[in-house]
Amino acid sequence: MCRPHILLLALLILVLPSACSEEIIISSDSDYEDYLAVEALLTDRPDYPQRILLSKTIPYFEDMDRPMVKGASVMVDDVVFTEKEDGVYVAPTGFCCHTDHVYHLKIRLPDGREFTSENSMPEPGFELKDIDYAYLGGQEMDMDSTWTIGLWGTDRDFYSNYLVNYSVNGNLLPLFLSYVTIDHYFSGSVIKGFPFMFMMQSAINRQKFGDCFKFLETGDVITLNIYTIDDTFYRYLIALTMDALYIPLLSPQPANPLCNIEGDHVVGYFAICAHVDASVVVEDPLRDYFKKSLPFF
Amino acid sequence: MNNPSNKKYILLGIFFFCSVMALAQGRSITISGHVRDAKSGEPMTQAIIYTEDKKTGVAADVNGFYSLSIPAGKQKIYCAYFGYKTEEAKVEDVSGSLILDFLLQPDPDMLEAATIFSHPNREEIKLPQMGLQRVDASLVRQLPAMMGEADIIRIIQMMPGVQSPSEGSTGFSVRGGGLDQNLILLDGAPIYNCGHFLGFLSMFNGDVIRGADLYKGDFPASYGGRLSSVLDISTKDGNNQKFGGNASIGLISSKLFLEGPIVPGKLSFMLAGRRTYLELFLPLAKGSIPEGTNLYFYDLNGKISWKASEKDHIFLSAFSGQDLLALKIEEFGLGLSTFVFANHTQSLRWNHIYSPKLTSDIIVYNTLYRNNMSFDLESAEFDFYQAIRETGFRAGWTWYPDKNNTMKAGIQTAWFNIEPGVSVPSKETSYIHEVHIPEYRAILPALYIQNEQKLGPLSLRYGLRFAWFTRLGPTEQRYYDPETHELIIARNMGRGYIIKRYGGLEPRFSASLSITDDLSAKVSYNRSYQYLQQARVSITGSPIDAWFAASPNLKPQRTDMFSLGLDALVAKQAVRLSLEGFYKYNKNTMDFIDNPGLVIDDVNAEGLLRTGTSRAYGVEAMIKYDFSRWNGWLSYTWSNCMYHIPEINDGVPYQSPLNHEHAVNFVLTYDFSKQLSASTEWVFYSGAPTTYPIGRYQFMDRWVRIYSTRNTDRMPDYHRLDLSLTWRTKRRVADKPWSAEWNLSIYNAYARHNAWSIGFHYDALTQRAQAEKTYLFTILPSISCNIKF
Repeated sequence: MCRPHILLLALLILVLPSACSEEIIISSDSDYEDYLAVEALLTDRPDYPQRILLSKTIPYFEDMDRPMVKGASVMVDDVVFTEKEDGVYVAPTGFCCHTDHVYHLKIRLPDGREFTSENSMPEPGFELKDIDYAYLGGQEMDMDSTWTIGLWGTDRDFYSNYLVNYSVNGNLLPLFLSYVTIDHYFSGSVIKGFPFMFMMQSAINRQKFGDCFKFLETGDVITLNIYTIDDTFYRYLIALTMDALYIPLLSPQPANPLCNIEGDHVVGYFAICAHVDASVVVEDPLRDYFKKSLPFF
Repeated sequence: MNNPSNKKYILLGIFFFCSVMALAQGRSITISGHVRDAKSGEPMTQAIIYTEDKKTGVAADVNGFYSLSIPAGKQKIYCAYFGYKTEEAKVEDVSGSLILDFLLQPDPDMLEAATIFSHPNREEIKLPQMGLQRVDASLVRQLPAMMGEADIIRIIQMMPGVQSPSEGSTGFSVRGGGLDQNLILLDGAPIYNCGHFLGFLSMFNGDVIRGADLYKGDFPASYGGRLSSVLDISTKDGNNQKFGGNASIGLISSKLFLEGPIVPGKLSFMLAGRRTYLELFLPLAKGSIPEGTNLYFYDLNGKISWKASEKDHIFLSAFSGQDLLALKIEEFGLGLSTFVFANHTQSLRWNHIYSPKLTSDIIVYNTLYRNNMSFDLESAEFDFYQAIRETGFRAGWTWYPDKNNTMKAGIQTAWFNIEPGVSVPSKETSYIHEVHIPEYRAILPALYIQNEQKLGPLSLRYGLRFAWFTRLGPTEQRYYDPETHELIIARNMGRGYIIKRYGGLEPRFSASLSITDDLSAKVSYNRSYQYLQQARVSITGSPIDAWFAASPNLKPQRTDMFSLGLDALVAKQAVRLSLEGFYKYNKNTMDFIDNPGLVIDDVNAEGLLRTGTSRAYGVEAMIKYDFSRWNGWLSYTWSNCMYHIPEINDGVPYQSPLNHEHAVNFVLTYDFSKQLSASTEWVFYSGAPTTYPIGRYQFMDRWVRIYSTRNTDRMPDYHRLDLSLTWRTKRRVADKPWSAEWNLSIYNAYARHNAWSIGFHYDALTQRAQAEKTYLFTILPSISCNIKF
């Protein structure tokens, strides 16, 4: 976990217990207009479906599902993405991205509006060799239990940004609960057993977000995913994180994150990420140390 | 004529012409001296010294010193101060000059409990000074206190044109200005962060404060370096007649104040300490607050006052305060981690009287504000440190050439050493690398000259200030492309290398025309530069907000302010009515780009700033009443402040987040008897500008908000009623008198849930988007006991 996250967490814990919250009805003086929302996250994983999601924005307080945009033409360079579900456009099997190439996204909507973007994949910043888990405790602060995932590998000797998440038995942590970090504080280091990710498992979260929040049991498989992302996408995700956390003492004035897609009335991002992962099988869920840190490993 | 340097010479010419004209006066004598409280020996700022015919009079300065020129001949001189017996002195037919000190005795006919407001007087409304608000120490103790802590900043926030950025904040915005645009001086030493508890309480202990002057833009030429206001706080000198003190116990803290003579009449001391004990109650909150949490602050004030001779007075003053927050969250692998915010100031001041017509005030000071954060995160242990230090001296001379002129001149210098951030691993096993945001130095010398002149019914004050700022090495200076704001180069500069210079003339002018004895019209113009500025990421401000000095990438901010007003006394001078309008135009106003992230440890934070202009204008009205039993004020402010920064908000002007369009403050104290008094205050602010979401979309499985343009919406209106009841008892213990003062305060008496912030959430279970306001306090009663001995 990077330093700003610690700071945010500490101040959040200190400030919020003294405060109370209640729902309030507000209305903005500004008029709402429809925008096209583009979620185009491509990776270098050939085994993983490369998808681009198109939807429309909705007024903030409307209770409705996101309206998907059907019938669009979506291409990355000359590769055509096919609409498999409403608004979900998928690349042909085996398509994946590589470094040293600029990819061009082109979207054409049924009403004739066009949107374009270009981006390239950053060099992978981390060589992930292995991971391990350790039990940290629980039963406090509305959490059932917390584990940490330790990391073994080498951070390459240039500044990188990472998007990090995990899965339990293939159940992926929702992407919005992933975290983003920079490696300025450990760039170029050989890492052995650094606690890189925390798993805050709870029944409430399991109910809300699925089995990735289950209490760990023997035989469960934990997989850590690290995506190297470029600077602008890192800033985009940090903006989303800061906005979602919203701590008055620290949060900046609300603003829309910068969109890298050209066109009228469009939001979202076209990003390409370099992926690495590693897995570990849970043997003793309550083991409170990294077994792989022991001398005989 | 269009040459700017020509304009400077013309201004200088006008200044010296007026000054020379001022000296052409007839034969007179000069009486000078000090006015002090007979019981404590404390100087009595603003005591009025006047002649029998009431045609000539002056007010004592902050040191209680006055100089009055009168026609030669026999005269009776009076010295008056509200709540004290008026003293009379006969002046025989002397020539030249005369030293005449006054010791004022409290008036037993006045209710002991009477709150000593700055009692309106005719001399004050005739002064050309505009936008000045005075706060006396007794008022700090009398008004309702939040959590039992009497706080001068809360009173400052009740003044017209002064607004609190948010509930419970000790920051304040003056006439639309930023929170960093206020020069706060404690016994002459600047304060960079005056908050305790993340800004919910101020660092100023109510027991030690003698008084404070708030200048809202029309600064005397001796002040500079900030655009919006100067808050000059002075502490007590310490009783030079007898030992005494206070001990008080409050809801969250206890205080001890001691004062007394070391050599009676010559050397006195004042010592005060305050310490919270909130950590004692933290175990009660087990479950909601992580185990190991600690939270406290302390502050210490000390002062020694030495009357070295009749002509020399030396003051040594020091302050030390610290907040500590400690956390331990094992679930996150976080061992005991600490946050320390500390302020330290020292000042040494020498007042010298060369002659009844010439005095000097020389001060040397040092101030340090620092944050230390220590994180004990397994394998990532590190310490983070930020600091700003200012060391300086100011020498000012005041010359009273005749009864119509008071000239001031001075030289000042300040040295700055700013450490924006250093991060170092605290254990050998830590993977955290050392990160050092380059520290830098700067120097800011200044010269000023000013004259206050009376021309019949017209009172003038005109002055010039010139400051030149130099940013110096050693440092690594980063240069950003002015168009793209991308880093071009980072250069290492050696010690003493001049990286960038800025400077400018700051003309100051104000005039007051006495239409009648009780009615004055006033006008003023003021230009100021600010070379050291704080860029706030958050709206409310936090203790870790970074200060930026002017640099090759950032020009200093500049303001030009015009004010126009009327000042009147009615109801036998018991009520003062004032009406002021102002217009401010600021250049190089800065703001962060959208979504700058957490800039605390960003070496390129300066590249995230953009500059433009801003305008603020408004009207302030105040009715201040001061009768024997009840007093207080009612004020109303209407104001607007717009930023225009071409690279923010698509170049469309937007509201300052600190500007509440309408503000009403009502303060009333009532003394039932010598033993019992009550006070109330009511505050109303229209909502501060903010930005609400208008739409949403999904990205990476999360709902992302779409916002309207910056600050087009407004928070809900804010209003609050506070009440206070004070009961005093007197006893004699071992033949020594002591008194106890019980204060019961109720903050937010009608328990309004004022929005501190508004957050927006999407509930995954109910699949609803909703707005949620966070409020800090409902009704908040507190009790404190103050024992005076």
